[in-house]
Amino acid sequence: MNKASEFIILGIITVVVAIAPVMPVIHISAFITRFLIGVMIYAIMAEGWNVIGGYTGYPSFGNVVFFGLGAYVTALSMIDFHIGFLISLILAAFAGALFAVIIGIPVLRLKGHYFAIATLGIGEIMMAITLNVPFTGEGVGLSLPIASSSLLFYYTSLIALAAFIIFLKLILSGRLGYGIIAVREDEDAARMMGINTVIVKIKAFAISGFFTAIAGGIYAYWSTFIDPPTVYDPIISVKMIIMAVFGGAGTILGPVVGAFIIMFLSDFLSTHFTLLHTFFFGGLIVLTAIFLPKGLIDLFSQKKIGWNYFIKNIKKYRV
Amino acid sequence: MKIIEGRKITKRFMGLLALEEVDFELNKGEILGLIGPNGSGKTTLINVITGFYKPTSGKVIYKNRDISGLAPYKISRLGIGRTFQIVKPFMELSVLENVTTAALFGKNIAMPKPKAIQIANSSIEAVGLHDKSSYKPGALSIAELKKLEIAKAIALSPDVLFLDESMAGLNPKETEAAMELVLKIREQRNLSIFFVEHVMKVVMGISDRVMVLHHGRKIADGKPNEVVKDENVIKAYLGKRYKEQKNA
Ligand SMILES: Nc1ncnc2c1ncn2[C@@H]1O[C@H](COP(=O)(O)OP(=O)(O)OP(=O)(O)O)[C@@H](O)[C@H]1O
Ligand SMILES: [Mg+2]
Repeated sequence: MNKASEFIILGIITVVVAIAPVMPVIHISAFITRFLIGVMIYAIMAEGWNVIGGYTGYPSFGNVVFFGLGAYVTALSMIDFHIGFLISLILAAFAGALFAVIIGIPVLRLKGHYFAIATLGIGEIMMAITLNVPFTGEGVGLSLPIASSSLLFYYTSLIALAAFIIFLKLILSGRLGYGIIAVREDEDAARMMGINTVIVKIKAFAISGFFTAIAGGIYAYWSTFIDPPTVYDPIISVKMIIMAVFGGAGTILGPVVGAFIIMFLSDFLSTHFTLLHTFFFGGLIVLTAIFLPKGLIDLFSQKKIGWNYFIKNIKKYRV
Repeated sequence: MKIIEGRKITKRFMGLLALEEVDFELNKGEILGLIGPNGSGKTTLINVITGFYKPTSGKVIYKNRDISGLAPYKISRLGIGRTFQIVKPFMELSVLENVTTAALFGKNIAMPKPKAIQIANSSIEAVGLHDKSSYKPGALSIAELKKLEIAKAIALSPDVLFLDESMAGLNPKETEAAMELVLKIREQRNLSIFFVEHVMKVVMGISDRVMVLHHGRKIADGKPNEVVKDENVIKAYLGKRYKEQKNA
Protein backbone atom coordinates (compact mmCIF):
# COMPACT_ATOMS: atom_id res chain seq x y z
CA MET A 1 0.00 0.00 0.00
CA ASN A 2 1.52 3.35 -0.95
CA LYS A 3 1.62 6.49 1.17
CA ALA A 4 -1.13 8.41 -0.63
CA SER A 5 -3.68 5.62 -0.76
CA GLU A 6 -2.96 4.74 2.86
CA PHE A 7 -3.63 8.35 3.80
CA ILE A 8 -6.88 8.54 1.82
CA ILE A 9 -8.23 5.28 3.22
CA LEU A 10 -7.33 6.41 6.71
CA GLY A 11 -9.09 9.74 6.15
CA ILE A 12 -12.29 8.14 4.88
CA ILE A 13 -12.40 5.66 7.74
CA THR A 14 -11.85 8.44 10.27
CA VAL A 15 -14.65 10.61 8.90
CA VAL A 16 -17.13 7.76 8.68
CA VAL A 17 -16.30 6.53 12.15
CA ALA A 18 -16.39 10.03 13.59
CA ILE A 19 -19.87 10.90 12.37
CA ALA A 20 -21.45 7.47 12.49
CA PRO A 21 -23.12 7.62 15.91
CA VAL A 22 -24.59 11.12 15.46
CA MET A 23 -25.68 10.89 11.83
CA PRO A 24 -29.47 10.61 11.74
CA VAL A 25 -29.27 8.96 8.32
CA ILE A 26 -26.94 6.16 9.34
CA HIS A 27 -28.31 6.21 12.84
CA ILE A 28 -26.38 3.28 14.13
CA SER A 29 -27.93 1.42 16.96
CA ALA A 30 -26.82 1.46 20.57
CA PHE A 31 -25.70 -2.10 19.97
CA ILE A 32 -23.25 -1.12 17.23
CA THR A 33 -21.99 1.91 19.16
CA ARG A 34 -21.25 -0.40 22.03
CA PHE A 35 -19.49 -2.84 19.75
CA LEU A 36 -17.35 -0.10 18.23
CA ILE A 37 -16.33 1.25 21.65
CA GLY A 38 -15.09 -2.22 22.52
CA VAL A 39 -13.22 -2.43 19.22
CA MET A 40 -11.52 0.91 19.75
CA ILE A 41 -10.51 0.15 23.33
CA TYR A 42 -8.99 -3.11 22.14
CA ALA A 43 -7.42 -1.42 19.13
CA ILE A 44 -5.59 0.98 21.47
CA MET A 45 -4.34 -1.98 23.50
CA ALA A 46 -3.31 -4.00 20.43
CA GLU A 47 -1.48 -0.95 19.10
CA GLY A 48 0.13 -0.53 22.52
CA TRP A 49 1.34 -4.11 22.40
CA ASN A 50 2.50 -3.53 18.82
CA VAL A 51 4.90 -0.78 19.92
CA ILE A 52 6.81 -3.06 22.27
CA GLY A 53 6.08 -6.47 20.71
CA GLY A 54 5.77 -5.68 17.01
CA TYR A 55 8.16 -2.78 16.49
CA THR A 56 10.71 -3.29 19.27
CA GLY A 57 10.61 -7.11 19.14
CA TYR A 58 9.93 -7.63 22.85
CA PRO A 59 6.78 -9.79 23.06
CA SER A 60 5.23 -8.68 26.33
CA PHE A 61 2.73 -11.12 27.85
CA GLY A 62 1.94 -8.73 30.67
CA ASN A 63 0.61 -5.60 28.99
CA VAL A 64 -2.64 -6.11 30.85
CA VAL A 65 -0.91 -4.55 33.89
CA PHE A 66 -1.06 -1.16 32.19
CA PHE A 67 -4.73 -1.72 31.38
CA GLY A 68 -5.49 -2.68 35.00
CA LEU A 69 -3.38 0.12 36.41
CA GLY A 70 -5.07 2.66 34.13
CA ALA A 71 -8.47 1.37 35.17
CA TYR A 72 -7.64 1.63 38.88
CA VAL A 73 -5.96 5.05 38.68
CA THR A 74 -8.93 6.45 36.76
CA ALA A 75 -11.44 4.90 39.16
CA LEU A 76 -9.67 6.03 42.33
CA SER A 77 -9.05 9.51 40.97
CA MET A 78 -12.73 9.90 40.09
CA ILE A 79 -14.17 8.27 43.21
CA ASP A 80 -11.76 9.38 45.95
CA PHE A 81 -10.55 12.70 44.59
CA HIS A 82 -13.56 13.72 42.51
CA ILE A 83 -11.31 14.56 39.60
CA GLY A 84 -12.99 14.76 36.19
CA PHE A 85 -12.86 11.85 33.76
CA LEU A 86 -10.50 13.36 31.19
CA ILE A 87 -7.96 14.56 33.75
CA SER A 88 -8.17 11.18 35.46
CA LEU A 89 -7.40 9.55 32.10
CA ILE A 90 -4.32 11.71 31.70
CA LEU A 91 -3.19 10.78 35.22
CA ALA A 92 -3.74 7.14 34.35
CA ALA A 93 -1.69 7.51 31.17
CA PHE A 94 1.29 8.95 33.03
CA ALA A 95 0.96 6.30 35.73
CA GLY A 96 1.08 3.66 32.97
CA ALA A 97 4.19 5.20 31.41
CA LEU A 98 5.92 5.55 34.77
CA PHE A 99 5.12 1.98 35.71
CA ALA A 100 6.49 0.81 32.35
CA VAL A 101 9.76 2.59 33.08
CA ILE A 102 9.98 1.07 36.57
CA ILE A 103 9.34 -2.51 35.47
CA GLY A 104 11.14 -2.01 32.16
CA ILE A 105 14.50 -1.30 33.76
CA PRO A 106 14.88 -4.84 35.13
CA VAL A 107 12.69 -6.75 32.67
CA LEU A 108 13.90 -5.30 29.36
CA ARG A 109 17.34 -6.77 30.05
CA LEU A 110 15.83 -10.17 29.37
CA LYS A 111 15.28 -11.54 25.91
CA GLY A 112 12.90 -13.99 24.25
CA HIS A 113 11.19 -16.51 26.51
CA TYR A 114 12.66 -14.97 29.65
CA PHE A 115 11.18 -11.60 28.86
CA ALA A 116 7.79 -13.16 28.05
CA ILE A 117 7.72 -15.12 31.31
CA ALA A 118 8.84 -12.15 33.42
CA THR A 119 6.14 -9.90 31.98
CA LEU A 120 3.56 -12.62 32.59
CA GLY A 121 4.66 -12.69 36.23
CA ILE A 122 4.23 -8.95 36.67
CA GLY A 123 0.56 -9.18 35.75
CA GLU A 124 0.03 -11.79 38.44
CA ILE A 125 1.92 -9.71 41.02
CA MET A 126 -0.19 -6.62 40.30
CA MET A 127 -3.38 -8.63 40.66
CA ALA A 128 -2.18 -9.92 44.04
CA ILE A 129 -1.19 -6.44 45.22
CA THR A 130 -4.51 -4.91 44.23
CA LEU A 131 -6.39 -7.73 45.97
CA ASN A 132 -4.60 -6.97 49.23
CA VAL A 133 -4.22 -3.18 49.39
CA PRO A 134 -7.10 -1.51 51.34
CA PHE A 135 -7.64 1.63 49.24
CA THR A 136 -8.21 -0.33 46.02
CA GLY A 137 -11.34 -1.93 47.41
CA GLU A 138 -9.40 -5.21 47.58
CA GLY A 139 -11.29 -8.14 46.11
CA VAL A 140 -14.65 -6.37 46.25
CA GLY A 141 -13.82 -4.02 43.43
CA LEU A 142 -14.79 -0.42 42.76
CA SER A 143 -18.01 1.10 41.44
CA LEU A 144 -17.75 4.21 39.32
CA PRO A 145 -20.38 6.86 38.66
CA ILE A 146 -22.60 6.30 35.64
CA ALA A 147 -21.99 8.52 32.63
CA SER A 148 -24.89 10.31 30.99
CA SER A 149 -24.23 9.11 27.45
CA SER A 150 -22.22 6.33 25.81
CA LEU A 151 -21.17 8.83 23.14
CA LEU A 152 -18.59 10.10 25.66
CA PHE A 153 -16.85 6.73 25.51
CA TYR A 154 -17.23 6.52 21.78
CA TYR A 155 -15.46 9.83 21.25
CA THR A 156 -12.79 9.50 23.93
CA SER A 157 -11.71 6.13 22.61
CA LEU A 158 -11.83 7.42 19.02
CA ILE A 159 -9.70 10.46 19.87
CA ALA A 160 -7.27 8.39 21.95
CA LEU A 161 -6.88 5.86 19.12
CA ALA A 162 -6.44 8.56 16.48
CA ALA A 163 -3.93 10.43 18.66
CA PHE A 164 -2.02 7.20 19.21
CA ILE A 165 -1.84 6.43 15.49
CA ILE A 166 -0.67 9.93 14.60
CA PHE A 167 1.85 9.94 17.45
CA LEU A 168 3.19 6.56 16.37
CA LYS A 169 3.52 7.65 12.75
CA LEU A 170 5.54 10.67 13.85
CA ILE A 171 7.75 8.67 16.20
CA LEU A 172 8.44 6.03 13.58
CA SER A 173 9.66 8.50 11.00
CA GLY A 174 12.10 10.05 13.47
CA ARG A 175 15.32 9.01 15.21
CA LEU A 176 13.52 7.10 17.97
CA GLY A 177 11.59 5.06 15.40
CA TYR A 178 14.76 4.02 13.60
CA GLY A 179 16.27 3.12 16.96
CA ILE A 180 13.24 1.04 17.93
CA ILE A 181 13.28 -0.95 14.71
CA ALA A 182 17.07 -1.40 14.89
CA VAL A 183 16.66 -2.94 18.35
CA ARG A 184 14.15 -5.42 16.95
CA GLU A 185 16.34 -6.31 13.99
CA ASP A 186 19.69 -6.76 15.75
CA GLU A 187 20.63 -5.33 19.10
CA ASP A 188 24.39 -5.66 18.64
CA ALA A 189 24.30 -3.93 15.27
CA ALA A 190 22.16 -1.22 16.88
CA ARG A 191 24.68 -0.67 19.67
CA MET A 192 27.52 -0.49 17.18
CA MET A 193 25.61 2.31 15.46
CA GLY A 194 25.53 4.42 18.58
CA ILE A 195 21.98 3.54 19.63
CA ASN A 196 21.41 3.50 23.38
CA THR A 197 19.35 0.33 23.20
CA VAL A 198 18.39 0.39 26.88
CA ILE A 199 16.83 3.85 26.64
CA VAL A 200 15.15 3.04 23.31
CA LYS A 201 13.48 -0.05 24.78
CA ILE A 202 12.34 1.81 27.89
CA LYS A 203 10.87 4.63 25.79
CA ALA A 204 9.00 2.13 23.62
CA PHE A 205 7.65 0.34 26.70
CA ALA A 206 6.60 3.69 28.21
CA ILE A 207 4.65 4.60 25.07
CA SER A 208 3.01 1.19 25.23
CA GLY A 209 2.13 1.67 28.91
CA PHE A 210 0.88 5.22 28.40
CA PHE A 211 -1.77 4.37 25.81
CA THR A 212 -2.73 0.99 27.25
CA ALA A 213 -3.47 2.72 30.56
CA ILE A 214 -5.79 5.16 28.74
CA ALA A 215 -7.66 2.17 27.33
CA GLY A 216 -7.98 0.84 30.89
CA GLY A 217 -9.31 4.18 32.14
CA ILE A 218 -11.94 4.42 29.43
CA TYR A 219 -12.97 0.84 30.12
CA ALA A 220 -13.31 1.48 33.88
CA TYR A 221 -15.71 4.42 33.51
CA TRP A 222 -17.59 2.74 30.67
CA SER A 223 -18.19 -0.52 32.53
CA THR A 224 -18.87 1.33 35.84
CA PHE A 225 -17.38 -1.52 37.83
CA ILE A 226 -13.89 -2.98 38.08
CA ASP A 227 -12.27 -5.66 40.17
CA PRO A 228 -8.82 -7.27 39.96
CA PRO A 229 -9.76 -10.54 38.22
CA THR A 230 -11.49 -8.57 35.45
CA VAL A 231 -8.92 -5.87 34.69
CA TYR A 232 -5.80 -7.96 35.35
CA ASP A 233 -7.07 -11.00 33.46
CA PRO A 234 -4.07 -12.47 31.55
CA ILE A 235 -6.45 -13.35 28.70
CA ILE A 236 -6.56 -9.62 27.93
CA SER A 237 -2.81 -9.69 27.20
CA VAL A 238 -3.32 -12.71 24.97
CA LYS A 239 -6.13 -10.95 23.07
CA MET A 240 -3.97 -7.89 22.41
CA ILE A 241 -1.27 -10.11 20.98
CA ILE A 242 -3.67 -12.09 18.80
CA MET A 243 -5.23 -8.90 17.42
CA ALA A 244 -1.88 -7.27 16.70
CA VAL A 245 -0.38 -10.37 15.10
CA PHE A 246 -3.54 -11.28 13.18
CA GLY A 247 -3.78 -7.77 11.72
CA GLY A 248 -0.06 -7.35 11.23
CA ALA A 249 2.51 -6.73 13.96
CA GLY A 250 5.06 -4.08 13.13
CA THR A 251 2.62 -2.13 10.95
CA ILE A 252 0.62 0.88 12.09
CA LEU A 253 -2.81 -0.15 10.85
CA GLY A 254 -2.48 -3.91 11.35
CA PRO A 255 -3.49 -3.98 15.03
CA VAL A 256 -6.52 -1.76 14.37
CA VAL A 257 -7.70 -4.01 11.56
CA GLY A 258 -6.95 -7.01 13.76
CA ALA A 259 -8.96 -5.64 16.68
CA PHE A 260 -11.97 -4.97 14.47
CA ILE A 261 -11.99 -8.35 12.75
CA ILE A 262 -11.25 -10.39 15.86
CA MET A 263 -13.96 -8.61 17.85
CA PHE A 264 -16.42 -9.05 14.99
CA LEU A 265 -15.64 -12.73 14.50
CA SER A 266 -15.70 -13.45 18.18
CA ASP A 267 -19.14 -11.77 18.49
CA PHE A 268 -20.46 -13.45 15.37
CA LEU A 269 -19.18 -16.90 16.22
CA SER A 270 -20.37 -16.80 19.80
CA THR A 271 -23.92 -15.85 18.78
CA HIS A 272 -24.18 -18.25 15.83
CA PHE A 273 -22.14 -21.20 17.01
CA THR A 274 -22.52 -21.06 20.76
CA LEU A 275 -20.85 -24.37 21.39
CA LEU A 276 -18.29 -24.49 18.62
CA HIS A 277 -17.17 -20.87 18.56
CA THR A 278 -13.90 -21.44 20.40
CA PHE A 279 -13.16 -24.20 17.90
CA PHE A 280 -13.55 -21.85 14.92
CA PHE A 281 -11.75 -19.06 16.70
CA GLY A 282 -8.78 -21.21 17.64
CA GLY A 283 -8.66 -22.70 14.15
CA LEU A 284 -8.59 -19.27 12.59
CA ILE A 285 -5.62 -18.24 14.72
CA VAL A 286 -3.69 -21.38 13.84
CA LEU A 287 -4.38 -20.89 10.12
CA THR A 288 -3.26 -17.27 10.27
CA ALA A 289 -0.01 -18.20 11.97
CA ILE A 290 0.68 -20.70 9.19
CA PHE A 291 -0.55 -18.88 6.08
CA LEU A 292 -0.37 -15.21 7.04
CA PRO A 293 2.49 -14.89 9.53
CA LYS A 294 2.86 -11.21 8.70
CA GLY A 295 -0.82 -10.57 9.30
CA LEU A 296 -3.81 -9.58 7.20
CA ILE A 297 -2.46 -6.14 6.38
CA ASP A 298 0.40 -7.76 4.48
CA LEU A 299 -2.13 -8.88 1.86
CA PHE A 300 -2.67 -5.24 0.91
CA SER A 301 0.98 -4.60 0.24
CA GLN A 302 1.20 -7.45 -2.28
CA LYS A 303 0.86 -6.67 -5.96
CA LYS A 304 -0.51 -10.08 -6.70
CA ILE A 305 -1.86 -12.69 -4.34
CA GLY A 306 -1.73 -16.25 -5.55
CA TRP A 307 -0.80 -19.62 -4.16
CA ASN A 308 2.80 -18.56 -4.35
CA TYR A 309 2.28 -15.94 -1.68
CA PHE A 310 0.99 -18.51 0.81
CA ILE A 311 3.57 -21.11 -0.12
CA LYS A 312 6.35 -18.57 0.42
CA ASN A 313 4.90 -17.64 3.81
CA ILE A 314 4.74 -21.24 4.92
CA LYS A 315 8.32 -21.86 3.92
CA LYS A 316 9.67 -18.64 5.42
CA TYR A 317 8.85 -19.34 9.04
CA ARG A 318 9.31 -23.09 8.93
CA VAL A 319 12.18 -24.44 11.00
CA MET B 1 50.37 10.73 15.76
CA LYS B 2 48.45 8.09 17.71
CA ILE B 3 44.66 8.21 17.46
CA ILE B 4 43.89 5.08 19.44
CA GLU B 5 45.99 2.70 21.48
CA GLY B 6 45.63 -0.28 23.76
CA ARG B 7 47.74 -0.76 26.86
CA LYS B 8 48.25 -4.26 28.24
CA ILE B 9 44.78 -5.43 27.27
CA THR B 10 43.87 -8.70 28.93
CA LYS B 11 40.60 -10.55 28.44
CA ARG B 12 39.74 -13.73 30.26
CA PHE B 13 36.68 -15.89 29.60
CA MET B 14 36.28 -18.19 32.58
CA GLY B 15 39.39 -20.33 32.31
CA LEU B 16 40.42 -19.13 28.85
CA LEU B 17 42.90 -16.31 28.44
CA ALA B 18 41.73 -14.85 25.12
CA LEU B 19 44.01 -11.79 25.24
CA GLU B 20 47.13 -11.42 27.31
CA GLU B 21 48.64 -7.97 27.85
CA VAL B 22 48.20 -6.88 24.25
CA ASP B 23 49.59 -3.46 23.37
CA PHE B 24 48.66 -1.85 20.09
CA GLU B 25 48.55 1.56 18.54
CA LEU B 26 46.97 3.01 15.45
CA ASN B 27 48.23 6.26 13.98
CA LYS B 28 46.14 8.87 12.26
CA GLY B 29 45.57 7.91 8.61
CA GLU B 30 47.25 4.54 9.04
CA ILE B 31 46.00 1.16 7.86
CA LEU B 32 46.94 -1.53 10.34
CA GLY B 33 46.44 -5.19 9.48
CA LEU B 34 45.84 -7.74 12.22
CA ILE B 35 46.51 -11.39 11.45
CA GLY B 36 46.65 -14.57 13.49
CA PRO B 37 45.35 -18.14 13.52
CA ASN B 38 41.68 -18.95 14.21
CA GLY B 39 40.87 -18.35 17.84
CA SER B 40 43.94 -16.20 18.47
CA GLY B 41 41.82 -13.36 19.84
CA LYS B 42 41.44 -10.96 16.90
CA THR B 43 37.67 -10.51 17.16
CA THR B 44 37.93 -10.41 20.95
CA LEU B 45 40.36 -7.51 20.67
CA ILE B 46 37.91 -5.57 18.48
CA ASN B 47 35.10 -6.39 20.90
CA VAL B 48 37.11 -5.02 23.81
CA ILE B 49 38.07 -1.84 21.94
CA THR B 50 34.50 -1.14 20.79
CA GLY B 51 32.98 -1.79 24.21
CA PHE B 52 31.22 -5.09 23.50
CA TYR B 53 33.45 -6.77 26.09
CA LYS B 54 34.93 -5.14 29.15
CA PRO B 55 38.66 -5.83 29.42
CA THR B 56 39.69 -7.96 32.40
CA SER B 57 42.54 -5.49 32.75
CA GLY B 58 44.30 -2.92 30.61
CA LYS B 59 43.21 0.29 28.94
CA VAL B 60 42.03 1.63 25.62
CA ILE B 61 43.00 5.24 25.02
CA TYR B 62 41.26 7.13 22.20
CA LYS B 63 42.17 10.74 21.47
CA ASN B 64 43.87 10.99 24.87
CA ARG B 65 40.81 9.70 26.66
CA ASP B 66 40.37 6.41 28.51
CA ILE B 67 37.43 4.66 26.87
CA SER B 68 37.91 1.20 28.37
CA GLY B 69 34.62 -0.26 29.52
CA LEU B 70 32.42 2.48 28.01
CA ALA B 71 29.13 1.26 26.52
CA PRO B 72 29.36 0.48 22.78
CA TYR B 73 26.89 3.22 21.85
CA LYS B 74 29.04 5.83 23.59
CA ILE B 75 32.16 4.59 21.86
CA SER B 76 30.34 4.69 18.53
CA ARG B 77 29.29 8.29 19.12
CA LEU B 78 32.89 9.25 19.85
CA GLY B 79 33.77 8.31 16.27
CA ILE B 80 34.68 4.63 16.30
CA GLY B 81 32.97 2.46 13.70
CA ARG B 82 33.20 -1.28 13.19
CA THR B 83 31.94 -4.13 11.07
CA PHE B 84 31.05 -7.60 12.35
CA GLN B 85 32.79 -10.74 11.15
CA ILE B 86 29.34 -12.33 10.89
CA VAL B 87 27.40 -9.64 9.05
CA LYS B 88 24.45 -8.14 10.93
CA PRO B 89 22.11 -6.51 8.42
CA PHE B 90 18.57 -5.46 9.39
CA MET B 91 16.72 -8.06 7.31
CA GLU B 92 13.33 -6.31 7.21
CA LEU B 93 14.76 -2.98 6.04
CA SER B 94 16.08 -1.87 2.67
CA VAL B 95 19.75 -1.12 2.11
CA LEU B 96 18.99 2.59 2.30
CA GLU B 97 17.02 2.22 5.55
CA ASN B 98 19.81 0.09 7.03
CA VAL B 99 22.40 2.73 6.32
CA THR B 100 20.08 5.64 7.24
CA THR B 101 19.67 4.14 10.70
CA ALA B 102 23.43 4.27 11.14
CA ALA B 103 23.62 7.79 9.71
CA LEU B 104 21.07 9.03 12.27
CA PHE B 105 23.28 7.93 15.15
CA GLY B 106 27.03 7.53 15.62
CA LYS B 107 28.81 10.86 15.41
CA ASN B 108 25.79 12.34 13.61
CA ILE B 109 23.49 11.95 16.61
CA ALA B 110 22.45 15.64 16.54
CA MET B 111 21.95 15.83 12.78
CA PRO B 112 18.52 16.38 11.17
CA LYS B 113 17.07 13.49 9.17
CA PRO B 114 17.39 14.91 5.63
CA LYS B 115 21.12 15.41 6.21
CA ALA B 116 21.40 11.86 7.58
CA ILE B 117 19.73 10.46 4.46
CA GLN B 118 22.24 12.38 2.37
CA ILE B 119 25.08 10.83 4.38
CA ALA B 120 23.49 7.39 3.98
CA ASN B 121 23.29 7.84 0.22
CA SER B 122 26.88 8.95 -0.08
CA SER B 123 28.02 5.98 2.05
CA ILE B 124 26.07 3.58 -0.16
CA GLU B 125 27.57 5.24 -3.21
CA ALA B 126 31.07 4.97 -1.73
CA VAL B 127 30.84 1.18 -1.38
CA GLY B 128 29.15 0.87 -4.77
CA LEU B 129 25.74 -0.38 -3.66
CA HIS B 130 23.71 2.53 -5.07
CA ASP B 131 21.85 0.41 -7.61
CA LYS B 132 20.72 -1.87 -4.77
CA SER B 133 19.51 0.88 -2.43
CA SER B 134 15.92 -0.29 -2.34
CA TYR B 135 16.75 -4.00 -2.02
CA LYS B 136 16.43 -5.91 1.20
CA PRO B 137 19.55 -7.71 2.46
CA GLY B 138 17.95 -11.08 1.65
CA ALA B 139 18.47 -10.28 -2.03
CA LEU B 140 22.17 -9.42 -1.73
CA SER B 141 25.23 -11.61 -2.39
CA ILE B 142 27.88 -12.18 0.28
CA ALA B 143 30.14 -9.58 -1.31
CA GLU B 144 27.28 -7.08 -1.27
CA LEU B 145 26.41 -7.86 2.36
CA LYS B 146 30.02 -7.17 3.31
CA LYS B 147 29.77 -3.87 1.46
CA LEU B 148 26.57 -3.03 3.30
CA GLU B 149 28.36 -3.71 6.57
CA ILE B 150 31.07 -1.21 5.56
CA ALA B 151 28.50 1.33 4.37
CA LYS B 152 26.76 1.21 7.77
CA ALA B 153 30.07 1.73 9.54
CA ILE B 154 31.20 4.70 7.45
CA ALA B 155 27.73 6.29 7.68
CA LEU B 156 28.50 6.88 11.36
CA SER B 157 31.07 9.42 10.14
CA PRO B 158 33.78 7.74 12.21
CA ASP B 159 37.42 8.74 12.58
CA VAL B 160 38.55 5.18 13.18
CA LEU B 161 37.21 2.09 11.47
CA PHE B 162 37.58 -1.52 12.60
CA LEU B 163 36.97 -4.09 9.89
CA ASP B 164 36.62 -7.72 11.00
CA GLU B 165 37.23 -9.97 8.00
CA SER B 166 35.29 -7.76 5.63
CA MET B 167 36.75 -9.65 2.70
CA ALA B 168 36.33 -13.23 3.83
CA GLY B 169 34.33 -15.29 1.35
CA LEU B 170 34.91 -12.98 -1.61
CA ASN B 171 36.28 -14.24 -4.93
CA PRO B 172 39.61 -12.83 -6.20
CA LYS B 173 37.95 -10.16 -8.34
CA GLU B 174 35.70 -9.01 -5.50
CA THR B 175 38.67 -9.03 -3.14
CA GLU B 176 40.60 -6.78 -5.50
CA ALA B 177 37.68 -4.33 -5.59
CA ALA B 178 37.31 -4.43 -1.81
CA MET B 179 40.99 -3.57 -1.37
CA GLU B 180 40.59 -0.55 -3.60
CA LEU B 181 37.49 0.40 -1.63
CA VAL B 182 39.37 0.38 1.68
CA LEU B 183 42.15 2.54 0.26
CA LYS B 184 39.60 4.90 -1.27
CA ILE B 185 37.55 5.44 1.89
CA ARG B 186 40.69 6.04 3.92
CA GLU B 187 41.67 8.73 1.43
CA GLN B 188 38.27 10.38 1.02
CA ARG B 189 37.15 10.20 4.61
CA ASN B 190 40.37 10.79 6.46
CA LEU B 191 40.05 7.46 8.22
CA SER B 192 42.41 5.43 10.31
CA ILE B 193 41.70 1.75 9.65
CA PHE B 194 42.35 -1.37 11.72
CA PHE B 195 41.45 -4.52 9.84
CA VAL B 196 41.49 -8.25 10.48
CA GLU B 197 42.11 -10.47 7.49
CA HIS B 198 43.29 -13.97 6.64
CA VAL B 199 44.02 -13.43 2.95
CA MET B 200 47.74 -12.56 2.88
CA LYS B 201 47.46 -10.87 -0.50
CA VAL B 202 45.11 -8.31 1.05
CA VAL B 203 47.20 -7.89 4.18
CA MET B 204 50.37 -7.32 2.17
CA GLY B 205 48.56 -5.17 -0.39
CA ILE B 206 47.02 -2.48 1.77
CA SER B 207 48.62 -2.47 5.25
CA ASP B 208 51.03 0.22 6.32
CA ARG B 209 51.84 -1.97 9.29
CA VAL B 210 50.94 -5.50 10.39
CA MET B 211 50.53 -7.01 13.82
CA VAL B 212 50.20 -10.67 14.69
CA LEU B 213 48.29 -12.37 17.50
CA HIS B 214 48.91 -15.94 18.61
CA HIS B 215 47.09 -17.54 21.54
CA GLY B 216 46.04 -14.09 22.72
CA ARG B 217 49.58 -12.68 22.71
CA LYS B 218 51.09 -10.22 20.31
CA ILE B 219 54.05 -11.94 18.67
CA ALA B 220 54.98 -9.38 16.03
CA ASP B 221 54.30 -5.80 14.98
CA GLY B 222 56.00 -3.97 12.12
CA LYS B 223 56.36 -3.34 8.39
CA PRO B 224 54.48 -5.97 6.35
CA ASN B 225 57.54 -7.31 4.54
CA GLU B 226 59.45 -7.62 7.84
CA VAL B 227 56.63 -9.33 9.69
CA VAL B 228 56.21 -12.04 7.04
CA LYS B 229 59.90 -12.91 7.43
CA ASP B 230 59.65 -13.17 11.22
CA GLU B 231 60.43 -16.69 12.34
CA ASN B 232 57.82 -16.79 15.08
CA VAL B 233 55.15 -15.58 12.68
CA ILE B 234 56.05 -18.19 10.09
CA LYS B 235 56.01 -20.92 12.71
CA ALA B 236 52.74 -19.87 14.32
CA TYR B 237 50.72 -18.82 11.32
CA LEU B 238 52.20 -18.21 7.95
CA GLY B 239 53.82 -21.56 7.33
CA LYS B 240 50.55 -23.35 7.08
CA ARG B 241 48.69 -20.39 5.55
CA TYR B 242 51.11 -19.83 2.71
CA LYS B 243 50.97 -23.45 1.70
CA GLU B 244 47.17 -23.42 1.76
CA GLN B 245 46.87 -20.22 -0.21
CA LYS B 246 49.40 -21.31 -2.80
CA ASN B 247 47.65 -24.62 -3.33
CA ALA B 248 44.26 -22.93 -3.66
N1 LIG C 1 32.04 -14.61 24.51
C1 LIG C 1 32.98 -15.56 24.64
N2 LIG C 1 32.91 -16.45 25.65
C2 LIG C 1 33.85 -17.41 25.81
N3 LIG C 1 34.88 -17.56 24.97
C3 LIG C 1 35.00 -16.71 23.94
C4 LIG C 1 34.06 -15.66 23.72
N4 LIG C 1 34.43 -14.97 22.62
C5 LIG C 1 35.55 -15.55 22.17
N5 LIG C 1 35.91 -16.59 22.96
C6 LIG C 1 37.09 -17.44 22.80
O1 LIG C 1 38.23 -16.61 22.74
C7 LIG C 1 39.16 -17.11 21.80
C8 LIG C 1 39.47 -16.04 20.78
O2 LIG C 1 38.34 -15.93 19.92
P1 LIG C 1 38.23 -14.84 18.77
O3 LIG C 1 36.87 -14.90 18.23
O4 LIG C 1 38.72 -13.54 19.28
O5 LIG C 1 39.26 -15.41 17.70
P2 LIG C 1 39.61 -14.85 16.26
O6 LIG C 1 41.07 -14.59 16.26
O7 LIG C 1 38.74 -13.75 15.88
O8 LIG C 1 39.35 -16.13 15.36
P3 LIG C 1 38.77 -16.26 13.86
O9 LIG C 1 39.93 -16.09 12.94
O10 LIG C 1 38.24 -17.66 13.80
O11 LIG C 1 37.72 -15.23 13.68
C9 LIG C 1 38.56 -18.37 21.21
O12 LIG C 1 39.08 -19.48 21.90
C10 LIG C 1 37.09 -18.22 21.50
O13 LIG C 1 36.47 -19.47 21.64
MG1 LIG D 1 37.31 -13.44 14.45
